Amino acid sequence: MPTVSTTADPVPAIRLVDAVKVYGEGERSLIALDRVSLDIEPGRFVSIIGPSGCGKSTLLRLIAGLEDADDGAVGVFGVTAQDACAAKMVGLVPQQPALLPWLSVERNVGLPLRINRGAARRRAAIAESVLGRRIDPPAPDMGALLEAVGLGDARHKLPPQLSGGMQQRAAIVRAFGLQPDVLLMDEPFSALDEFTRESLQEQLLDLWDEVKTTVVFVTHSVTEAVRLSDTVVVMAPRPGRIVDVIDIDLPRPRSGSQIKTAAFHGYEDLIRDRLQAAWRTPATGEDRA
Amino acid sequence: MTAIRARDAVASTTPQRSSAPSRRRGRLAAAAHPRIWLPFTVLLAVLLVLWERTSVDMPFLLPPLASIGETLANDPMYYVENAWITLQEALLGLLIGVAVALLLAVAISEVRLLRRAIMPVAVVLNVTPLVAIAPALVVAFGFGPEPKLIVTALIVFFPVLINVASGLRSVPAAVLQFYTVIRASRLEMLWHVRVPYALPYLFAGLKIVFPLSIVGAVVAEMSAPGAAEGLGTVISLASSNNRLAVVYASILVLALMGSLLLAVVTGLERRALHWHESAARGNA
Repeated sequence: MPTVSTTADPVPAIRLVDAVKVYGEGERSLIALDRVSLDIEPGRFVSIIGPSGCGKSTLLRLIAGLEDADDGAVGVFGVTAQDACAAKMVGLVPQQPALLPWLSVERNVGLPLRINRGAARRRAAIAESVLGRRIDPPAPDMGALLEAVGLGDARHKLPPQLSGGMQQRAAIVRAFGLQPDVLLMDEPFSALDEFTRESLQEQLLDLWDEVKTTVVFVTHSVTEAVRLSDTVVVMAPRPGRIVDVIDIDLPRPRSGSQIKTAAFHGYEDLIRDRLQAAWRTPATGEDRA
Repeated sequence: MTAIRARDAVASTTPQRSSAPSRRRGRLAAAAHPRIWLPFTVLLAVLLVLWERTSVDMPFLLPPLASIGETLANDPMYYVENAWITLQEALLGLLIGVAVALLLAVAISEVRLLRRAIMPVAVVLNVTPLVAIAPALVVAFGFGPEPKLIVTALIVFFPVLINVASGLRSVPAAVLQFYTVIRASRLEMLWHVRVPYALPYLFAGLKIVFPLSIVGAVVAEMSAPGAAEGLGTVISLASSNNRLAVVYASILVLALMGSLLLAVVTGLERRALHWHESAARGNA
């Protein structure tokens, strides 16, 4: 089982054990995930990278409790993904900002706090039974979070009045505001231009530095994966599987200038090699496609 | 980094939304411009001249405009009273039809089983000509207000049901995903997400059915030959007595009522959907 980190922690933030997900039936069935196992330690920033159809989005949907595995288990801090979501331990930043167009930025980031109020009690109970201690995170200061990503002046604006980059910043604040134990990000910057993307990467790292939650970040971009992550999980398609888990041993904070260093390029090349190798040699059942 | 912030700031300040009063003033000022009202005025003048010439040559086809004005001026209360009856029927039928449509729209968008049961019935009801149902309802319920309310409610029911049902399902997948991950309850999802997304669809439906409600009321009145009141009754009595001026005076009043209702619903829409308006401008 690939383990993300060397130190053994009794309760991983995310644990997949032989997770299987198959779409369709019979001849036309597609194995999106083929007995995938993965442990992610609390507080890690983990990117999942791979070509289309490698199952990275399916993996995210399983952790988000949007779908259930056909076989195997998906756990979040020792409970099922479903229970974790019911306790609001999981936050999501989707590919599109997904803000409500009739609510101001401020109300958009505030609404999730008023939804599913029973979650606080469930979350405390899970924390007590799994970690053996109570956690009582103070209510987040949404104003400060908005300020931190440069949306202080835009808090009363409606989402359609903002640029795509600003909308996605609001979506990130909305997710961090939940103070989730696990934050899932599904290619959140893929629709943005390169300059905006780099500035958002920087702000994401700043926020994560303060909140230190476990992040699972799905991306297409090798550079993005290396820049953001403690660990990069490389996946391959047909069937969807993990081919490599690479720890990124670069100092933090990672500024823009670090992208130009040799060490950085080394990691990029390594990941590209692994991606290409996986593409050339499908693991099992070549005729399955 | 700073350059990007600055660029974002420009994007954010450009579509400055003007305040509501100044926007209203802007609309009025625009409407006062000849470019806006002149084409309509010219067309109206042409149509009135054609009408007048036709009425001189063939008085059995169209009454002279002066005679219509005369009958309205001679007994304005007659028209006001009958219009009030018809308007009451229309509005009450509208209320019933829209309320039932809203409840069913929520029901069929939440429960697939209900959707499969209700939709075929609603479609059949929609393609059945209500003019044909109205006499049967008069037989069943008599000359009172009941058949009028039922016909009006039936006529407004379907457009609202279809529009709101598709509106409730128009929520983008990413929005549903976000709120599903934090396990919003069905009620929370409905109230905070689905209903607001359905509002533009609701108003599109209301714009159709507000004027349509008058059609329903008039049809029902005409199908009840013994009925004593309402503009529909006035029209059918006057036409059987060859009093064309009265017929067209009533039609004029009905048309004005329909326009009034449309203006009311458009005003409500502007109030409720200011965000939608700005969203549309943002995408343009």
